[in-house]
Amino acid sequence: MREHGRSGLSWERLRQRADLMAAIRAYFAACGVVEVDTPSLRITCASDPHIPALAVGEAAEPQFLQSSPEALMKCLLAEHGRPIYQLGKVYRAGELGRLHQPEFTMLEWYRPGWSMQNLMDEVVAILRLVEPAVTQVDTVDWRSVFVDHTSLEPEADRHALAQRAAGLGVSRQLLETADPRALRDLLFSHCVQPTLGQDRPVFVTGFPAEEAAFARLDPADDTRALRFELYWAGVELANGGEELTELDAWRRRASADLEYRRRAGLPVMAIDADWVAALELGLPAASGVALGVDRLLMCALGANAVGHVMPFARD
Amino acid sequence: MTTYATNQFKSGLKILLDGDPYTIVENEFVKPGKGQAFSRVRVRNLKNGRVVEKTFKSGDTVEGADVMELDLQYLYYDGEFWHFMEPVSFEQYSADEVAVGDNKIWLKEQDVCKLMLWNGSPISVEPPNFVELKVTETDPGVRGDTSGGGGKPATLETGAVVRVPLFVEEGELLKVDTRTAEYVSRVKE
Repeated sequence: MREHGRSGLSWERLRQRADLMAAIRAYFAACGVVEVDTPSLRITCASDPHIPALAVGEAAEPQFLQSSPEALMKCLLAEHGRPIYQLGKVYRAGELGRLHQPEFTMLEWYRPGWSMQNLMDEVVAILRLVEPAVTQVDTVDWRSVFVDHTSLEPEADRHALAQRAAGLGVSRQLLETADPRALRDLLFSHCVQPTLGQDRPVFVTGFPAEEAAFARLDPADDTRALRFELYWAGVELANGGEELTELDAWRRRASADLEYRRRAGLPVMAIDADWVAALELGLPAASGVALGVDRLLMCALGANAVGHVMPFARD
Repeated sequence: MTTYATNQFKSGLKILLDGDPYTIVENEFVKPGKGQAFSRVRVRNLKNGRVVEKTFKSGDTVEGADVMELDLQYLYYDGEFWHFMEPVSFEQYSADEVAVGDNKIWLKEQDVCKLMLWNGSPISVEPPNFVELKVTETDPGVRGDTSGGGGKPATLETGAVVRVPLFVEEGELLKVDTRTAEYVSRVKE
């Protein structure tokens, strides 16, 4: 339990945080990626139903603390077509635990003209800022690791997924109401995720199209998204991919998210007019990624919780 | 009836699962990269002490368990139930064999015990950490041996059997740690 008035961090830890931020800025400065600082407060927020937005202000006209700088960074990409990064605080309502704080530091960057693979190589360069011993990072296929650790195919029917989940000690309410996708999330987070990147960091790719978020689908196999996640010691560190640039496809996905929110009784925010305008103006082909800076520091220092590397973290 | 959403989970919270009262030992927020969030909790069954893991979908609700802890004075055993009394209100409670369990060997009349009540009925009885009990049976004492080395079994007035030093005699009053079932010292009456 943190004492009032105390940061909970040693001076050494505070220095290590500062050193990492300085190293990130020095890295990008050296390769011509420009820092931007888009607003944290906007009238809409991420449509992803599983990203709970933190609403502030009057209930009649709520504003949202941003869960990521994605939308406005895409506007800058459409407007200027240059590589950019943002290093700053982002917010999630109700996320608190060993790996979660309601406010945390995110590094998000975009590389116009780069493939997903190019960007993954650059993510490794960022990892090396804290852990120079990391030279090579393996890539595993989402479907293969799912099968390896659950003995089930992710396309298995609801009954089979539920039967596997029941063995994990799952509440009856969850078992009875979860759709196949939720059960798959459950199995991935309980059976697969803890095993990922135990010896050294690992990328997961080959996510199914319904988990594409706003990444484009693989032109060679449109059941898969060109998206990756980075894991280290069972902790998800980064999430990126090749950006979706077609407005129609974007509208379909955003509407599906909002429809899901409506059905689930979650807040339904407005379609992001800035993001739509960026797509209308024309988003260049680009890859982008968001990386949790606190988690990176936590893994590099061998800490057990993000709160142990963040000043004034919540219990 | 109280219900709790997963974001209210914290250690010590008493909840009802599959009809049994549990206390939350540890709560972890689990979330895959993209997708549903879950609450994974370690919970202890308040009736049998067993610890299990359980996963909930974030936002799910569970019923709170109407559990409270009371300090009650032990009165007597009637052959079926152990009777306790609240020292201020004089309200009486009776605990059955399941609730008292292995702790029955530490219950001495007048001692104040911690009882956990679920829906008003005792489900567990915790004796004081130290109790003073008379030796009813042990081998004759070895005079002059105050080293405490070696030792021998002694049966106490409640039926408990503890290892005591060789010098302990029948009829003596002993202080015993109920958590470890170990002899602490002799007590002067």
